Amino acid sequence: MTYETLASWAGTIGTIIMMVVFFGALIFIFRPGSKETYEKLARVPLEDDDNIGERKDG
Amino acid sequence: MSLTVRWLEMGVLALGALLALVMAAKAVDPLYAFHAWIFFAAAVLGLFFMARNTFSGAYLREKETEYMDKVVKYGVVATVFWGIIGFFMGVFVASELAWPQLNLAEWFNFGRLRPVHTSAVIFAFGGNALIATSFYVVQRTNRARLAFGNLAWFVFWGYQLFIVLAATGYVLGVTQSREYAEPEWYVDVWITIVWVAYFLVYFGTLVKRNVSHIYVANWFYLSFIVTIAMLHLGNNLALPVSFFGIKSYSLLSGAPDAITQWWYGHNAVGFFLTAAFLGMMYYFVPKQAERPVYSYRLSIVHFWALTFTYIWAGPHHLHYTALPDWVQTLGMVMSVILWMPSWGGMINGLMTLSGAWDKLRTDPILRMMVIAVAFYGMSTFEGPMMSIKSVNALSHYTDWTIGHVHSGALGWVGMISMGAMYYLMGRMFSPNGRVYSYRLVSWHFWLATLGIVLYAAAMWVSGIMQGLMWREYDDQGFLVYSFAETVEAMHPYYVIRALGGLLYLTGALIMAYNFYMTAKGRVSAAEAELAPARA
Repeated sequence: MTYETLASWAGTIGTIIMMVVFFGALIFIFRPGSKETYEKLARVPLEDDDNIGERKDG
Repeated sequence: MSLTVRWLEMGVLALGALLALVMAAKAVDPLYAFHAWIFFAAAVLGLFFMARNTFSGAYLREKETEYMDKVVKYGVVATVFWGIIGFFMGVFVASELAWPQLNLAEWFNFGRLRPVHTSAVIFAFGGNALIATSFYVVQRTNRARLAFGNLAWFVFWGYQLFIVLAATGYVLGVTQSREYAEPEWYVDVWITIVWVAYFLVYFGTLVKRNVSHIYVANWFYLSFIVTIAMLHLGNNLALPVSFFGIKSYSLLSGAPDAITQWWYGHNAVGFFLTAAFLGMMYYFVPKQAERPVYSYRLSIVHFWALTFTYIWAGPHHLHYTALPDWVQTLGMVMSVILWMPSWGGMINGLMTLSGAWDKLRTDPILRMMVIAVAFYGMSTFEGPMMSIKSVNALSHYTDWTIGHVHSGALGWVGMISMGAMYYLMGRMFSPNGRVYSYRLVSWHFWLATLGIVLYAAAMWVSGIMQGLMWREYDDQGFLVYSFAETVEAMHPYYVIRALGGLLYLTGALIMAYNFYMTAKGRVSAAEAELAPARA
């Protein structure tokens, strides 16, 4: 295998991997029923934060 | 923490002092000996304070059930202190460019002081802001005290030692000439040790968290810690001439060395100056606005898209060089793709204020954070544009690049950090939750903003003019302008730039005064009856 074929295959494979990861991430975060989860998680920094170890959820 | 652990820690410090003595004794050049003595002094000082703290029993008052906040408070002080040093160095080197007579002696010439400026603002100011806020955020969002006891203190003081070694080295002429990585091999080894400790403290705290989900700000901070470790090791592969001397040689040479340097250099921008400060944004903007982040989903896409793309963008620093053409194109394409995660993140930060825009009128701290996000959007629009080869043909090696860097550094990094510092001042130093004077915060905001506008505008004009003058041919194919003529034409803009920096520095001095008064527990007389203290 020449350097050129290797380089071009590496580019193709890299493109495919990055697209799969990107669309996979999109599909995962827009999975059904995740809206409430993420709305709750977004509030994590806003909960009262002066006590250690009190909340076990979130 | 048990007494045995403290004896063990003191033993490590004593061994460190001993090693530093050996280094000083066997040094083959005086600069190495000088740095070995600094190592020695630091270890002895550390030993002294550890012993005092141990024998007085002060360490017994530290409770596992409380957040470890003292190290964060030290970090806030260090951030303000190094910020002023770094901004002052910036004003000084800008003045040296405008008035070359200021290049007084070899220790103070532009070539040696420029890295003092860049390292002071990036690593000393920015780095301390990141260490302090990351320690604050990781404890609050995970409901856990920092892991591994005193190791957080080692990270803080070890990092200050790195700054002192780097800065004194530059002034005395110790440099390996790698952009944003000028310290020589032994300082690189030291910062590696400190950084591994930083990772252990941060990751250990995540491991012992009391919540199930790790909030997104921590992802950004962690990606910064891990990626900087990888970049630092890759970029500093070098062979010292002697283990007791300052000089080392890079393992790589030519184009591979160049691309390694910009793989590091651009990801220092990507992961140090961007990802980490985005972690700051995702915690402090919601806190100050008292609203959750606009879209948590978008923050996840933002994170993965940014980390996957940034790492490839470095080659745009080497357009039209000996670097293979396809690598240059790859760097350009990835830089342009970066538009999307960057603007996604900017929209996420700005829209966090939706429904609370009125707070901008009354809260200068929030205003500071919002203008930071706006500058983030602006400089991440400008950057990809400049990475396009045909634009780069004009902009590269000109002052336009310097202007671009500073709209990101002064606008985004500086403003978001100072916003977070004001937040922490109110939270951690003030008895009533308020900083001394919000009017002074407002003054700081306007001085800094005006300073950036002057700086960036001057550099756009001077940079584009410089680029156009360089490529100006007459009808016989000769260059129209000599290099010195371009320098002369840029003089007025250099003066404006120095003035912009001076305004920015003045704002930081006002912040330091405000901080001092806040820590003393004072409330400005004019504001005593304003907004009640937050609980």
